[in-house]
Amino acid sequence: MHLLSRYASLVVITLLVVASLSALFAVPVARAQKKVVLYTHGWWQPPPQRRYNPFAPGAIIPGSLVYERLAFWMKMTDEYVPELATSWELKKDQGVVIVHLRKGVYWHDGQPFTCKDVWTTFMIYKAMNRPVWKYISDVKCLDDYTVEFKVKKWAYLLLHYLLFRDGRIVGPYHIYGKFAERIAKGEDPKTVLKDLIKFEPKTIIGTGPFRFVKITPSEVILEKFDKYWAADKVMIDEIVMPYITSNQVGWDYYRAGKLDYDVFMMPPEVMNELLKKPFAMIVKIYDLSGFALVFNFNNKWLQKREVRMAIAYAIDRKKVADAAGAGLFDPVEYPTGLLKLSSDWISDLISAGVLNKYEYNPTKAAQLLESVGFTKKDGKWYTPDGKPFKLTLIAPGGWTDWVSAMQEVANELKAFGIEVELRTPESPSYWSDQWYLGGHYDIAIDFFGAWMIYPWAAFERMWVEVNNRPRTVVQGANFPTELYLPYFKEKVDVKKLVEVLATSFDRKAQREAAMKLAYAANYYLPEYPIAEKRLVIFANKEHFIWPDPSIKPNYMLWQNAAGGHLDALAFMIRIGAVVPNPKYWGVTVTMPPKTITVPKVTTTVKTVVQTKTAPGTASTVTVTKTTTTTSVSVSTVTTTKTVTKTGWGAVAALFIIGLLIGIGIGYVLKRGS
Amino acid sequence: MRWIYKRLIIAFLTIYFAMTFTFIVIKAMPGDPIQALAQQFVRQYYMSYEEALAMARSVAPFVPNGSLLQQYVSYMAKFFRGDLGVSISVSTGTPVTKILADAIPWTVLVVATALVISFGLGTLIGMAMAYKHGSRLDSGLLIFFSILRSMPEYIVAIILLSIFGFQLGWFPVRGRYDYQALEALHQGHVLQFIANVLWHATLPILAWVITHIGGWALGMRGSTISVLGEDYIGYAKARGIPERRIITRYVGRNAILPLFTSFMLSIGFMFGGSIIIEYIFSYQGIGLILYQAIENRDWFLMLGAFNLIIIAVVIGALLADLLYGFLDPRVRRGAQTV
Amino acid sequence: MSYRRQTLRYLIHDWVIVPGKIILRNKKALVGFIIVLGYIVMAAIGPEVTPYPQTYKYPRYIKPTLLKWPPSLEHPLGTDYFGADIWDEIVWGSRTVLIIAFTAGIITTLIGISVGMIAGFVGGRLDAVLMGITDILMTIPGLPLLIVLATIIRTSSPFVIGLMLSINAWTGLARSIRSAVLALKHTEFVEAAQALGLPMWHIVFREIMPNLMSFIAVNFIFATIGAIYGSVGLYFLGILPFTAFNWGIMLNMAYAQAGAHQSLETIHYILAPIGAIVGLQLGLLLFSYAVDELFNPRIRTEIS
Repeated sequence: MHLLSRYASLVVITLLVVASLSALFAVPVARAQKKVVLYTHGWWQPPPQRRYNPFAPGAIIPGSLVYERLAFWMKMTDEYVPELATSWELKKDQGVVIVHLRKGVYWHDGQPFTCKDVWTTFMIYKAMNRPVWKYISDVKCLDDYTVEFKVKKWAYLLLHYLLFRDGRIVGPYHIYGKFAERIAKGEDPKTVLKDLIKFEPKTIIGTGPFRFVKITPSEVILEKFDKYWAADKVMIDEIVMPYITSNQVGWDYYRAGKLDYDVFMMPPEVMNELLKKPFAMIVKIYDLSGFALVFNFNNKWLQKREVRMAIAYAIDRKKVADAAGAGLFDPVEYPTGLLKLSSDWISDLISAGVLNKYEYNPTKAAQLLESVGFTKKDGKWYTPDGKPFKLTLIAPGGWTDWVSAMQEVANELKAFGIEVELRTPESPSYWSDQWYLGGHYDIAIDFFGAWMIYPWAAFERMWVEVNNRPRTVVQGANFPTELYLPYFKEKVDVKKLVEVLATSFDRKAQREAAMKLAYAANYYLPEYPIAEKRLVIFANKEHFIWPDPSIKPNYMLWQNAAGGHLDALAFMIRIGAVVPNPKYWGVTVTMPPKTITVPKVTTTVKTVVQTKTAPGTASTVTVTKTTTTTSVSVSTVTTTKTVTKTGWGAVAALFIIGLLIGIGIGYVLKRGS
Repeated sequence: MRWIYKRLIIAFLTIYFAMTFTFIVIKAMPGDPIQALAQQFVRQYYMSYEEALAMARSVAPFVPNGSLLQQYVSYMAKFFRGDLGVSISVSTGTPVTKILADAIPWTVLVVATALVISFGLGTLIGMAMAYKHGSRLDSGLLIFFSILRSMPEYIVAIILLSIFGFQLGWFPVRGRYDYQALEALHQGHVLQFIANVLWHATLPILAWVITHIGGWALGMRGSTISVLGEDYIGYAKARGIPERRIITRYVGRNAILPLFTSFMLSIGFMFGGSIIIEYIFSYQGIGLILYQAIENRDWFLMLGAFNLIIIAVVIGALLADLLYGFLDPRVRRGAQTV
Repeated sequence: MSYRRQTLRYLIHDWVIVPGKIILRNKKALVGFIIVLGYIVMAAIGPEVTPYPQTYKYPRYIKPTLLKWPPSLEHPLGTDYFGADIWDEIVWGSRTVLIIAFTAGIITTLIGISVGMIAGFVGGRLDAVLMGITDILMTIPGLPLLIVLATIIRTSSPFVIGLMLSINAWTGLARSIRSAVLALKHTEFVEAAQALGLPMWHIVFREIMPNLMSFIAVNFIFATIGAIYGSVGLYFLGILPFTAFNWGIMLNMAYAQAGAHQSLETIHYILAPIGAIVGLQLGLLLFSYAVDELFNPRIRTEIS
């Protein structure tokens, strides 16, 4: 049994090596923890290593934490809260919008923020053809803190794009000015863009509450910017944004207490498990989107309104929503294409009782099919020309919530007697001309609601275009654009109505257009909205004190996370609504009030009202930050905690190297013998 | 010498044709990068489609155009000059060579360590099993390794991550190293950095080792048993050669030879398989890069990663061939058996 | 008539009695054989006798009743996220999984044998070309290639997926067969047959094949195992087109959609498909231990 003795010697050598190596460098790494650090998920993919140029695709954009906008958009109230701008005036008689900028703002490299920077950013956006340039034709500086935008087309959405969507000021003049000048001179935007994309600045420069420090293969690190204009409100010293590849791993992070704020898809069972943790706090908000079944009008049976209605009646929306994610998807009440939070817009229709709820009703579905000549034999439906009624359903593979929803739809249609086949091309194929966008399906699944409470976005997506392809391509040339509405007793052009929503400042005209569009969607069912998505925000209440979402004004702050959870976080931090928990960090903080008010301060907003237009109500309500409680004593107390970082893991790692070395030594010895 | 030249030419041709094949297959994929990117932004950054598309749009200059043949010729011509194009998705605009060069060492670290450990331990255990052939220990281990071998590595990886990464918290759950460790490296604490890197690599390595050690052990067991039955072992014993020498020189060497080819081939297999392991552990090696490239329809990056693996495998096989020639004289006579 | 019966008896003896005895002798193989047979029976008649796993038929996440006291067969493995019976789903899924696995196994083996045989036996330029193709396919990384191919195919038919999975799985087998044929070509009995002028098919099928049978059979089993492993992995990543019932899809749903690995209340949903996959793999592997003996003429004569 020499063999065994050989092994024994190997094991002994290994253990020796491990022991000596452990002694060498498995010393606990003492780390003085004196900073308040917040962990939030930043990336689903490894962050790009060095893409500091915000205009380059795949750039590192840590939301409003680093880059600020002219104004922040409160999603629920459709109001704009000043950020880099302090006020704005719509001068319709002169055809301009004047934006007054905040003074005393600095870029992270210390340069003052002026109008030049806004100009630079907007000039580059012009070359990039960003949507705001649909509404403006020029931008110029009246002085260092006043910008004038020349308006091409007055539209209700103008302010939305100008202040919020494209209002993120990312291009300081002292860095990107040369490109903006070239565009202003009239050089071909494409060549300028090519050079711009290749350009790589030394680091990320923004004006936000946090300064970019560095990026590693696994996280992005930000630290507090001391010269930030509202620095007194910011009580967090560092933000670490790890990259997490999937929801599942995200849940694990939560449970381990390794994330302080984030949004992940989360089934109820996982949520319940998580809520057992003492630090767990969960806020459910509306995602402001949902999923709908899209009918292909090239299919001659689906062209018939009765058939689409029959399918709608044959599907139990509750079950489908539960399949997609119980507790995460709410079945829509009225399939109109509008979100629940937008239902005020159609309250007249609802109270008049003209909207069809399409409650699950297979008998009615059967009657509808029979009314257009379909027949049922042996539990299977046959078309009027005697062939089995067969449909192809598609869903993007890998998007498991949608796939399970479609699986349930398929199940229910099968139970109803329609032959269905579910295909799941993986998502890049699905969103291509080979599948959904090319119209290769009978019933597909798509978003509805489009991340905006104002009804324009939802109807633009439903009636006009999806992913920049006209609906007539995606849903077939027979997709209707002119429809007769029995309730209103008139024929409407849906595209024109959508345009009214985009341009009109008149609340009444907007409302009327929205109601007609919602009614048309409900009556003709070009698509069938099934369920609306909820977002689950997780927050760590042991580490930080968060605004209580059960109080309505506070909830609005959370709801902002739909469509940009980092922006919502940045907003909460900068108004002082999120503070470190003194019990955990050992710091003294001024507690925010229980109800966070985003106080409305009368800012000079002059809207020169034209003859017909009603005062642009929502757009003029402006708010600035309050001047109360400024005595925030963020004494960065040094609670020196010794954190043993290298624990068992390192020992095991060492064991493996030890083993390797041991094998090596064993081999050498063996050779020697 | 002529034999080596011939092998080299064949290797080159293999690389060339494999690259062509990959090129055609990848070009046949449906979907275009801009759409793919935009959709991904929508889902991942919770942003509206319009914003996402605006972000993705500026990619246009990098998307190749021209007929398939033109694209092929230009790609190949550039490839052999060392220009692999630029990436669309990962750090858009960065040369593919740079991304790959950054990723490869880490995959090599994980794959090579895992391979060496599983092969080393596996063959040792396999030999021991063969010596104890038929004993209770042998059959117990046989069942144990059979079960291990039946476990797909993605399942093992999820279990490891869940238990050791999160429940017990012994190991880091993401990345190649901590940024504190990188700082330590800059301050000259090289050992601390190495320890950190190994600590991060442990779970991925372990996932590979657990799923692969069984295969090697079983293979070595079978091979050793057949060698033990050979006549020359009996002669050697009869001649009074010390047992230790018989074990190492006669049995070990001859038993390990048949495993050698599969050892070399499994390098390529593991490079390809690292997609799943690196995906689960968020470990940025070539597998994760390749997965992202496929998801984003990042053609140049996909081609680059594929071709790199192809070249690595061909070189590996070439080395195996040459080494095998040295180790086993029978090969030179062309009487290679399995 | 009697001649025919005689032949039949020989056939039964050769293909049933002798293998049966060999399997009975080898305990591991017996267990493996029973497992694999169980799976095949499940796939063949299971869906006919078990109810269709309709969603929302039962409450969600009923615990496995097999583990309760007293155990019952009501929901032996519990119910899943969608309120469907997991046992029914496993049974309905077995058919697809087995079709994919065996299609891939058979195609892999057939291509491997033909390419290897032709290359080895004919030799010369054809050999060079065939081995060239083999080498090319062998060098392309398998899993990434499958991911790319999965985006191209537009069908969810298990046969097509099986075919796809064998795209470069056969290369190793072809190479091994070729070298084995090269070795056998120079043995006395083949050379004798050639000298006698026996036709090529005779030499291939009567002289060479029997010597390679155990090797081929083992490789068939490994190809099958590889296909299960690969297909489930691709379904798990959500890359292969969706088919109604499949263990890989169950695993994907349990992991990604339901997060079943996160809580003890739901863990049975993810353990069931894992168990089914590992069980089948293990059964095949154990069975493969007897294959060597099944085709070993020495052992066969010893038995009969």
